[in-house]
Amino acid sequence: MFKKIVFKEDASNEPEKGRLSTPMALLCGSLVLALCTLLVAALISTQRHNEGLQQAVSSMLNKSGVENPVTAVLLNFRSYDTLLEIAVLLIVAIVMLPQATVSESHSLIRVQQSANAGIIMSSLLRFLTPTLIIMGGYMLWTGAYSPGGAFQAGALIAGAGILIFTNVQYQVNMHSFAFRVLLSIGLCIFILSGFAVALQTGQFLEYPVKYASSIILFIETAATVSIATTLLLLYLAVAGTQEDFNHDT
Amino acid sequence: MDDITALLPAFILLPLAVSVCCLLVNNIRVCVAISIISAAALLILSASTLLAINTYEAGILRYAFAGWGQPLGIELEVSGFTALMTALTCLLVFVLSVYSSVYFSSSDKALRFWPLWWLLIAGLNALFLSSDIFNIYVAFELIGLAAVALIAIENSRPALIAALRYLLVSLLGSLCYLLAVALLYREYGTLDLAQLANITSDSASSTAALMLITVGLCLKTALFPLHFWLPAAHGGASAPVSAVLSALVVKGSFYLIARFWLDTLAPAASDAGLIILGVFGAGAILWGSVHALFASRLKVMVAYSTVAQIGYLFLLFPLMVGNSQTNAFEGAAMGAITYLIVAHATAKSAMFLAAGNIMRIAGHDNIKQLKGLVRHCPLSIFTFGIAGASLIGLPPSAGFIAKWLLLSNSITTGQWWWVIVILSGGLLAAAYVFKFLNLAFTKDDDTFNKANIVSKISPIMPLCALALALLTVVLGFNAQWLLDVSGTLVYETTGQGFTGQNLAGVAQ
Repeated sequence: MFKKIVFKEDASNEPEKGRLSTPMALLCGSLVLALCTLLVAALISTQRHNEGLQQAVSSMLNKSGVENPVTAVLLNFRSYDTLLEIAVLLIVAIVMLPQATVSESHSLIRVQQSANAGIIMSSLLRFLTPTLIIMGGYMLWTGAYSPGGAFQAGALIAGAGILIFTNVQYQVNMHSFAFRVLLSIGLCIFILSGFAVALQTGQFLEYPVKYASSIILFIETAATVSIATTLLLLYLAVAGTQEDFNHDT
Repeated sequence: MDDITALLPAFILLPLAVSVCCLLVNNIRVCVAISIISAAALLILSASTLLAINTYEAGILRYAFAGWGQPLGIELEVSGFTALMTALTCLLVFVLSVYSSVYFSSSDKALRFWPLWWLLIAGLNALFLSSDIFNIYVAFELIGLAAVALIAIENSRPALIAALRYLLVSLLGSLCYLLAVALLYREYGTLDLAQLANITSDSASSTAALMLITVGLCLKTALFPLHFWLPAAHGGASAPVSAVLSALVVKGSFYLIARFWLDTLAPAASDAGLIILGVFGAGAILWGSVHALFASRLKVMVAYSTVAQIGYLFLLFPLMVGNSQTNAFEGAAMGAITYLIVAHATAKSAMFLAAGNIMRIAGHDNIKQLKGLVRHCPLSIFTFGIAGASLIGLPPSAGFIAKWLLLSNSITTGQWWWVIVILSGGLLAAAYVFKFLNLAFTKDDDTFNKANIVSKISPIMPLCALALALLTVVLGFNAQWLLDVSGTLVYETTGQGFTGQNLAGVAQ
């Protein structure tokens, strides 16, 4: 009924070589303790800078296009950091893509009519999937006003994806062009929007104040898709439920 | 000048865009074509930035991402030194991209290589150009993960173990650095390097931050005794990846250590700390050279030689004692180190490429079984010889000029003991380079003959390696030009230093 999930592990039963002897462990422990004490002492003895950049953030918030200061920092004031973070996610995605064993021409998702498809799972998915996607969309939308945003939304949608592809009926083709587009669309849209606004304002990623909120939402939507796909890929690549797709074809 | 400033983001965005294109097209020929064209474009851009920065009076260009400016936003900053580092990166990337276009034989490896390769380059350029300490942390993430992934595409058990160890070390280093960033932000309320340099003091929290940064980045730079991960990682990766790791990736974290000790956190730095860094550097020179001498595999030998060469870089710090309060990236010692970075980057990447060619021809890189190799790959052995001469410090190579500058600096600052270390490091380097060359030239038909040749290689591969090796010689003839463009202005500053001392003497 459900696919058997086997997490790939190193099967070799090597004896535990990495364990420290007791005196060594005590030594390491005391070193860490001393380091922590020094850090705490340094923190206590030094005055904290009064407000940091909070004042600068709140005074510019009305120009940022969003009301949530965290989103304003992540996607407007320090959007370049977020751009690089999306690139970091892409590295993870490239590494986890399985080796090409099936041809690229297959479609992204394949539905297989199987006799032993779980009826409970299928009917549960019929309710859960749309709900999770709507919740993801809400998280994305609400990021402009309160905690939320692309990462949270992406995690929810990835959860929906994991549920779908745990069912034998649906299989995703990780070698398809469409799958690679989904993985990289976040970075693509981020860079392209950065250029597009630069044509208007002169600086890369400097949004025109009037359209800032819609541009941020647009970039975040693309980022959500990439984040969700990357998280899904991480699960599927480690869980190994998709192997039968390769064997069937 | 404005047009060059407006193009600065291209150093990071072009590699990112190329990476995405390579991932999407999934065709090796197209990937190679896009990569070589973009590498050439980056090379031209970096050369024009380097030339532009010298005609610019302030010597610094700044670009504000999203138009906010520091401290709210993130800025890119180019000085003579960072422009030189970027130009070095783009030059090596161009040669290594050409080399990689024929190096990878299996399609799966090549298809994974190109997107990761460009992400690594984006990270390197982001690191050298960034003026924001948190943004530098993100650049480290990009470099660290891409480097680990590039080692892991080799897909052999030793390479995977080395990659995992490198990942853990690199994460530990990043976390130490991140903790330091948090401490600095808490105390000063800004993340901009230039702003921090104006307001830092020698408070306990700043000292703690400097210590954390030093430990974290020394792990990433592989300074002795924290070098334990480097030989396996650099020795186990594929040739172009080893070359970029040794030539550029370790230099990125070194640049930041120098920047924090001598510039941003200079008030919190103590003379004792500077000397301790130098002592570890001296240890690295001796330890790395001795291990290189006894290495049984060629690539491991070259990797241990990197450990030793990193040691020379850290001799910068004791030579800056007493000079730490002035502008960090000027001065005789900094000029010597700048020269050494460039000399080592070209020589070491030439050496790794030559070792890669030898490994491809012989199918292994076990030094003892490479007797008489010279008849089968004369060009690669020749390259190895020139690069080796630069590492030893023989004239007329760039390595000679770098070591000569270091030696004269040690003597003018009255620290003669470093002279012994530098000279014995050179002798040990001669020992391990000639040990291999001697074997390669030995005429012994029993150990290596035609039957041992596993595969033939494209002539582009030895030519790329040779180009890099010849570059070290060319740089040896153009020392003054290189020091001028890097903005360290070595001779004039030495002169000023002397006049300064004389004036101080007169005043007393």
